[in-house]
Amino acid sequence: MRARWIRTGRGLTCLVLCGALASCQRPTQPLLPPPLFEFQGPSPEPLASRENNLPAQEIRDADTPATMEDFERYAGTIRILFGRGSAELTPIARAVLDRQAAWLRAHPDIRASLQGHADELAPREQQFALGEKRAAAMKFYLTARGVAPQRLFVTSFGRERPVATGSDEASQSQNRRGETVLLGLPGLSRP
Amino acid sequence: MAGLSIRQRTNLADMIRSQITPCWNPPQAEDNSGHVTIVMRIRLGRDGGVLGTPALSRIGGQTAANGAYANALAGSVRRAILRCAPLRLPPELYDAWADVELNFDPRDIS
Amino acid sequence: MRRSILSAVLVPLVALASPLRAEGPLHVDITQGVASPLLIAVPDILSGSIPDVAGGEDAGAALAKIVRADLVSTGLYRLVPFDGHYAIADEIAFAPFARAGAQALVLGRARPAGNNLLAYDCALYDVFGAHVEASQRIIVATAQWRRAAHKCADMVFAFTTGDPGHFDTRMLVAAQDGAIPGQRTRLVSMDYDGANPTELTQGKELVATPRFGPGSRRIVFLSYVDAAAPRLVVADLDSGSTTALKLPEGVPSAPRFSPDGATILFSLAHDGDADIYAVNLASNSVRQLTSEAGTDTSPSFAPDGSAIVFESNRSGDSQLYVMAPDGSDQRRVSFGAGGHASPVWSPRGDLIAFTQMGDGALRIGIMKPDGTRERIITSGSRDEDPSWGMSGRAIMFQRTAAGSALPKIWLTDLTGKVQQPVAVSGAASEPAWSGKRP
Repeated sequence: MRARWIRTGRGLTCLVLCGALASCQRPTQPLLPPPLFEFQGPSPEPLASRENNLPAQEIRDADTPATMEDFERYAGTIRILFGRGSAELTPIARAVLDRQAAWLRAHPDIRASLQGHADELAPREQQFALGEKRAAAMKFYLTARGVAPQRLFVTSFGRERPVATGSDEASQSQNRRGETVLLGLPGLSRP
Repeated sequence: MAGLSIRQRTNLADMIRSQITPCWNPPQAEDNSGHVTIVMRIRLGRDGGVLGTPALSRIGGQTAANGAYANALAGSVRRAILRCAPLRLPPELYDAWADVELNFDPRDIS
Repeated sequence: MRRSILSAVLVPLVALASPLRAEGPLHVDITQGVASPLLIAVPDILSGSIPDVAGGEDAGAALAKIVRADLVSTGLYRLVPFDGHYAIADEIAFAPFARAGAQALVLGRARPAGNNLLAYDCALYDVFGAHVEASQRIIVATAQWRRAAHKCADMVFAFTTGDPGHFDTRMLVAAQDGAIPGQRTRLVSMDYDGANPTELTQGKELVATPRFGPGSRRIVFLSYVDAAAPRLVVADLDSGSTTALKLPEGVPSAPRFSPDGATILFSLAHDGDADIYAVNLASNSVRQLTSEAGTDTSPSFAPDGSAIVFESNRSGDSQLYVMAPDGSDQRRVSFGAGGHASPVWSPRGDLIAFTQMGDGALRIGIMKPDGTRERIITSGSRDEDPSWGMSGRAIMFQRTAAGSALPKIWLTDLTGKVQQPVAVSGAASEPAWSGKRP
């Protein structure tokens, strides 16, 4: 195979990401707070043609603000589960993502972080890739259901954020999951 | 010096080898240690004790890369000799074992 | 030299005639030994209390205790017990140690050296020859008094094994607090034995896969300051400055420095596919090294920079592959039972450590770089994340007992016979072991 040189296209505004790193031995200059991440790329498209077909009143009426709670209430859950080592969407997962897609179509100003997670039964590094594969599968499905890809941001936590500990299958099956976390809600703190 | 048969010389060498082998604790060799051998010359008293300090007469297979390993090997050899002394050897053949050259070669150590 | 050549020639000749005259020294070839721990004594030499050292305990006794712990942890030494102690001015006779079977003797004398400094005179003696094999005057700041003992143990290790010691080193761990979910993760650095912990991050954001660069002052880790977009962050522990690497779109993970510190290898997952990349830290140019479908991750350079080992599931389950630094000549090297993951090349270059998957368990194994002589050296239910000591003779790893046990850091020798937990309080995972400290 041939190796390829790639130039990073997406410039980040701040190179020096001043995390809360304390010096080991010497006193250091005060560290800047971490900058908020700015999403690159064009603003979300209105998606008017497809989303006009939706029964919007079923999703919300004028008095319901767009909140994480409303999203979760409507979709039933923000979380879908996967099989061991798999990024395949189960019928149940598809049904949940159908509802999530409908809600997202009705709220075209809201963006979402798709967060893939993996169980603790396999070595750490490969689980980052598996989490990304799960989140990418969610993005692919939601995009096919009419959510603009520019609104969806794939990330992976690997096995670093388990919801259940314990080495048994029942616990670990809860960790093989994908979560849809809304971004850009007014007043919503960063996920 | 008394004349010795081949068999007598071989037997003497076996007696010395069997006494020093259990005392030799060589450092663990790795692939990049190479094949280092150490030759030590010792003089023994009639009681089998080592006279003076064992003299390192030759290091074989030493390279720039394995110098530290070779030093550790030489240290293990010196300790082996001193730890096993006095050697128990037939006094009537003292002339034959008063002066011994020991060739330490870790090739058979797994 | 001449003598041995002469004798080699003589032997076939003398076989013909017997008896014969003994010519020169008697030659004896010794090709076998007993590879067993070196019997060593490290008696306490009392120094009295020294300000800012050992919390007011006797400094000499406290230092000797650390030297003993360091040496024993490697499995290469067995302590010869010695009751009693010496005063700093005592003449020390070798005979009692020889009688007790000690082959080597370590004597360390601690003294205040003024100006908040501690002097530790460390000497290694050959008990039978009654002579000094190595000695060193170690001067450290009293606040770093433990380093004096570690440096002394490093000297003993170097002179008895031929390899640099790994005792005066640091370790990074990801420490967890609180219950799941909502657990916080802090990056903590500490001495290799768990002493002197320093908190590097405060748990506001998730951190993962910390790794040291060459030496002990530069690190890289995965930071979730923005949970929606994790970054690889390079940090300088002296200045405290941190830099997020500019990388192509995707989720980066599994970073590891090149031996010269100029490059970081990592895995980048994008659209369900993960490949190995290299980023040059000076130019920020990014190079893709693998492009097979599936997950390629956990890259680790050989210490001479001549090859990279990584993990891939391109053949089905996870196995180890080796390739040239430009990504060419990729070939599978692991063929033992089960899956193989998280490879790390030994600093000596002679072995690769990895996490083996099989029978529902994770275990630490080692193999030669061509995949031969594979050995599984731990037997826990979840042992993973191996990290080499700079001696190439010890491995730190994460062990999680069955059930809901907290992950802990353990240390093992290469046989797996000598294993012990490292004293880190609370839950700690992902140990990263530093190289030489300045």
